[in-house]
Amino acid sequence: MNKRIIFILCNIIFLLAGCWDEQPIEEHGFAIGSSIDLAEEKNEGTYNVMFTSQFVVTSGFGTPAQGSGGGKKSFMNLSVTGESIFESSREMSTKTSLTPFYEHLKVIVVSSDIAKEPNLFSSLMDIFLRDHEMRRGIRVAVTEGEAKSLLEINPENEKLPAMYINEVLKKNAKSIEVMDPVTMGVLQQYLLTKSSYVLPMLLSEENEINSEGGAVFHGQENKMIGTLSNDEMKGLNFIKGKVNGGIVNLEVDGQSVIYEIKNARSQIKIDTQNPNNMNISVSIKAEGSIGEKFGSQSLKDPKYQAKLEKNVGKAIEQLAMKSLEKGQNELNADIYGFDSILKQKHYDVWKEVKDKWITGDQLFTKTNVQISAEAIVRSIGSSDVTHEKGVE
Amino acid sequence: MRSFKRNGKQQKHNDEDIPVQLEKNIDKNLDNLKKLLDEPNDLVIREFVVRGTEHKCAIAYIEGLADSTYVRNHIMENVQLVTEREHLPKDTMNLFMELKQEIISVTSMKTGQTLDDVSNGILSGSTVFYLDGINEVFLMETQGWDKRSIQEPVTESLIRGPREGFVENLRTNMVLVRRYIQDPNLRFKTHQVGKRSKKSLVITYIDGIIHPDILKEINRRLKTIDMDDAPESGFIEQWIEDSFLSPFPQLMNTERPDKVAAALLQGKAAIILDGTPFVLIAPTTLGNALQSPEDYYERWTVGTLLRMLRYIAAFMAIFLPSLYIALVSYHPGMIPSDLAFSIAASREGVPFPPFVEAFLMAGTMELLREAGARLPKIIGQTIGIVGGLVIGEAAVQAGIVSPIMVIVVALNAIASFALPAYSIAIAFRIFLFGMMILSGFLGLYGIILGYIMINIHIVNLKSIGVPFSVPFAPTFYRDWNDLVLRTPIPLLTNRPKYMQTGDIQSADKGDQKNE
Amino acid sequence: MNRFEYADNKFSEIEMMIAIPSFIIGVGILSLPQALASATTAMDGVFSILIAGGIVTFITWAIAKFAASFPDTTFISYASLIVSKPVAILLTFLFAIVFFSITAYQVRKIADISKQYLFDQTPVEVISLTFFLVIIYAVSGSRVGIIRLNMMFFPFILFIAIIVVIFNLNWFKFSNFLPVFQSNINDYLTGVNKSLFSFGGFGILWFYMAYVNKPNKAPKMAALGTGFPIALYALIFLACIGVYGESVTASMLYPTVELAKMVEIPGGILERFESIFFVIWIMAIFNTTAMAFDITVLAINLVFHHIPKIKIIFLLSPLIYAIAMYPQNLIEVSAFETFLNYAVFYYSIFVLVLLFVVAKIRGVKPSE
Repeated sequence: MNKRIIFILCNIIFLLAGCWDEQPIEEHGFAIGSSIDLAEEKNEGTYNVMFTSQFVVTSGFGTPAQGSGGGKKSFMNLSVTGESIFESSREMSTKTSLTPFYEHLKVIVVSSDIAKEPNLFSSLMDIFLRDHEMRRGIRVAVTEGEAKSLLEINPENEKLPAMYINEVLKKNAKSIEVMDPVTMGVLQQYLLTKSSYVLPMLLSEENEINSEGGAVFHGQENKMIGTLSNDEMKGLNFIKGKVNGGIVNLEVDGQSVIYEIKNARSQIKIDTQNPNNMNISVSIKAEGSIGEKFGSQSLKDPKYQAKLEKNVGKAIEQLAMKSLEKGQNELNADIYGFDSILKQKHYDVWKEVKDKWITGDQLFTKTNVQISAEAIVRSIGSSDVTHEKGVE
Repeated sequence: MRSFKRNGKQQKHNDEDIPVQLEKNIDKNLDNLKKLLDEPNDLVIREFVVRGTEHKCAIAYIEGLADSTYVRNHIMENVQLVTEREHLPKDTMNLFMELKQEIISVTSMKTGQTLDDVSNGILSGSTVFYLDGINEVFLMETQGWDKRSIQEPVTESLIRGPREGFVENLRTNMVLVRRYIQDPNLRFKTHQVGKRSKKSLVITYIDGIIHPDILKEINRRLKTIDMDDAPESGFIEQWIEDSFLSPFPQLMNTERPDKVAAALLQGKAAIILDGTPFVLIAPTTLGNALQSPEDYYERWTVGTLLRMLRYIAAFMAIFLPSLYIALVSYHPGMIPSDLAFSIAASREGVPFPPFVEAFLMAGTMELLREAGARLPKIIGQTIGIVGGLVIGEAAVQAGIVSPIMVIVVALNAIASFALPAYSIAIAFRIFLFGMMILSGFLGLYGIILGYIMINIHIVNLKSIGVPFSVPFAPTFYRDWNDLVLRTPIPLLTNRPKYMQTGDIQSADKGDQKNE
Repeated sequence: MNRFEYADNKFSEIEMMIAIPSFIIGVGILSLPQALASATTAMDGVFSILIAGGIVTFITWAIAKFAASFPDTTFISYASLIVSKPVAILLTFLFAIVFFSITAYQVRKIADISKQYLFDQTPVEVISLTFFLVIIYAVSGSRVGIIRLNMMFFPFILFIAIIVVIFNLNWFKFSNFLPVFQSNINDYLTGVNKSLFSFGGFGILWFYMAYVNKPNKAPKMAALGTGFPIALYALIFLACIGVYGESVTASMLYPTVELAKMVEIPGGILERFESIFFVIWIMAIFNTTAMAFDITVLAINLVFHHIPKIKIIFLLSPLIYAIAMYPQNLIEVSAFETFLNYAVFYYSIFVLVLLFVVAKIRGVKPSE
């Protein structure tokens, strides 16, 4: 019996001496957003980057009983310049009493200067995929100019700028040009398959941040090669069939009509009979309703509706063509995912053309892409005509 | 205090001179009795003469244990006032027989030959009748002490269900059980426990339903009981349980006759001890411990939901504070961001790590519970309010604990009160503290190891030879209709398979009998 | 009337059925999708799993059938009947060594994975030791208790795995499954080879069959039991491919745990599902390890009957722990793993073939 007691006592002492990982929650510095800027280029291929993290100052939050922390700032930005992010984040811990803690990291904003250097961006992303603290759901965005400044704004309705950026990226607004957020997990897939991709661009104005266009990354060159304007983003989203809402402006009989898209899907077919000159047909089907209409034409008129639908289709086609033009001819980046469709549906052809799709023969630029779009008006709103003819 | 000597024979009598056998001389007999009991002042000895004869006789009983009115009406009066009979036999032996058969009108009587019989009878409330010249006595059951009337059970109150609870009196308790099951196969077998106290213990079961092996095993264990006194059924429980190292109660105790009746019908046995309202049910399983009779009295949907709630409560009663410790001090990444920030904000300024904080609060909770249970009811409630609200609020204000910790501990306490059996709830409290230590040491990993250890313990535990974890594992899928789920009454036709009952169906559906 | 059979030291055939998947499911599946995805194209790995599953089911059935023909007889007694006592002792002893190494491997592996997903500073030695103490506690209890623990934990394990797959449906890109049937034969074979080893659970049958209530039903049940891990592995592999695509899956260390990373519980009560998943998965690893250690003890006990079980446990435990702690890094551990996989798999088959052939030649009939 005595032996048993001694055994248990030893165990308890052993237990209490442990607790290696024990660290109360309030001693963590919760990083919720990070930004990466280029500090200087040291030599060819080595860079100094400025890594900024936004930490939550929890005492600024306060409990409801204590009031909201007496107007204390609820975040704190720390910047460290170094060669690697890991090194910088370690150095950060010496600058604050808290332990930097990245499990709640939501967004990373990368300055376009970083993105434009070959291979730099993908190497910097490594730590976010390797470190077990990082989630795969971290959203990545690019900004023109200094990324750090985005973390320093004072948003109106959020306490934390990083949370605000996160909301902006979430695609809450129903618009066509805003793309689906790119998470770390998706980014890894792009990086591993060496395909070209687009990251959302952020633009800050005063205390507001907007999603404005996209940054195009070239898979082979592994760097950012250009940007897409809002209209080009629309076209891209239409081709990829990733539209869940938004509006298309068009004119019917000289009168302005706003067509509100509920959703649009696309179907991409690749004709691989001649692998060196493929035909790709993209057919887009959009569904939506009339959001606003000038003029006094009755929407119940089937002829008018047919015309309207045709015009919507044309407008979509134009957007898509414009985008394709840029991607195919100007940037030579297959951001539309044609390569993965080839791989999935025409594996044999893909094996042949894999090496000459972007590089070499540049088959991608030579493909003939046809775009056709159809639109359906599902509903016209609650009233047909708001004013009679002749009143104008 | 009391000493429980298992070895060493109990000393028979202090005085070696007192003969064991009764003598023919009434005076000597009475002297011996007085000597044995050392003439206590509640010993009543009344000597008189059988009317119309010369025969001396005497009755003896203990005041308070025997009902003196009853003794007067049925013994004294009959013997003293035998008016109709003028011709009583002169012969002592014949008179003795006549007295027994025709004159004394007591319902239950037997004869005794030894002084031991006499003293045992007297001390259990019987009245002894001596007749001069006969070395035998009558022992007449005239028990009639004051007893508590049947009341609503205090520890297990139900909203719907019978309001009767067991009392301290063995006979009353047996009656209560009999009233629930009027089956000729209902058996009551008496054992006597306590070397000195000589308490009656009745084991009751339904012949033909209970598996004979279980009965044999219970009887075997009951026979090994060797102690001076068994003041409460807890003594019996702790003597016959399978593992005394286990925190789990391996026999269930209840104050409710309906619960006992239901258990008997499931092929279990109940152990009723004289002097306590707590009846033991054997064997018991983990599933039983989380059931309440009300599950059956309410409709099945309600019953099922209540059971699920209870399983969740059981989980919360063991794991809630340790989960809090693990999340807050080891895995803050698992808490949703906004909640994490506000927990961090609320812990700002709390001097202790979450583990110490939780231990402090859970310890206070135990203190409050114990204090509340010991105090008179009205003050007990005040303690609950003072302790719960005032101390909690003050501790938060003083910055000793964080408000979320108070919520966690309070929820945990409520969850443990929601468990139907106090003995299992208290066992869970032990696990609670164990889990908190493990979680304070290894976080979630510690919790899961603790959970695995509890499971290892449960699968190795048995109650009277029946695995405690049945019907989870060993699995009897058929019995799952009355485990977490409580299927509608018409579907509950079979007795639990794990009890291997003699008679499988509880409802008559054809002639299926023993396998 | 029935005897109280279930209270004795015997397993029912259902318990045997669950013991097989409980032994198989462990650390193997955590990295299997990675191995498969790097060998085959897109979802083709699933066919490797199915083929390997078929082979394993057959072997499981064969071993159970063979062992069932000697009901209530321990491995060593029927082996000595067939190939003489000294050889039987040698065979049993080798089994002991194999299961001994499995125990050590699992004890080590759990610490390595925990370090990845749960801990940062806590030393590997402590993580392993605490886990191993629990294993010792389990093995010190009754044998049937360990088997019943499988029954208690198996539903949780299935449940959490299915939850992970279901909550990932949201992220599924069915285009990731394409193209189908594009791997060449060699790729499939590599895949089969890799998945075969993660199914190696039939070894336990040699020892546990002696404790089964109704041995004649056991072979079918054991074969059925293998179906669980086959289905589960196929499902998890498909989920990995569907969510991550082949290239990402191939680049991750433990794709199955990473799969759990994607899960978002509705309502956001808890984040970081992978920690919860892994914590529940510890139960699966526990089952495997406890059975492996139990069989080690049982095998040694068969050779030296007079040594009490507890003594064997306390003699072996420090050894196992020492061996578990010996490898210095991930590479050494995985070398250990590869060696073990081969050993377990081929040794069981070797014993089966040996016993079967010799029994046929010498005409040994089970004594009824």
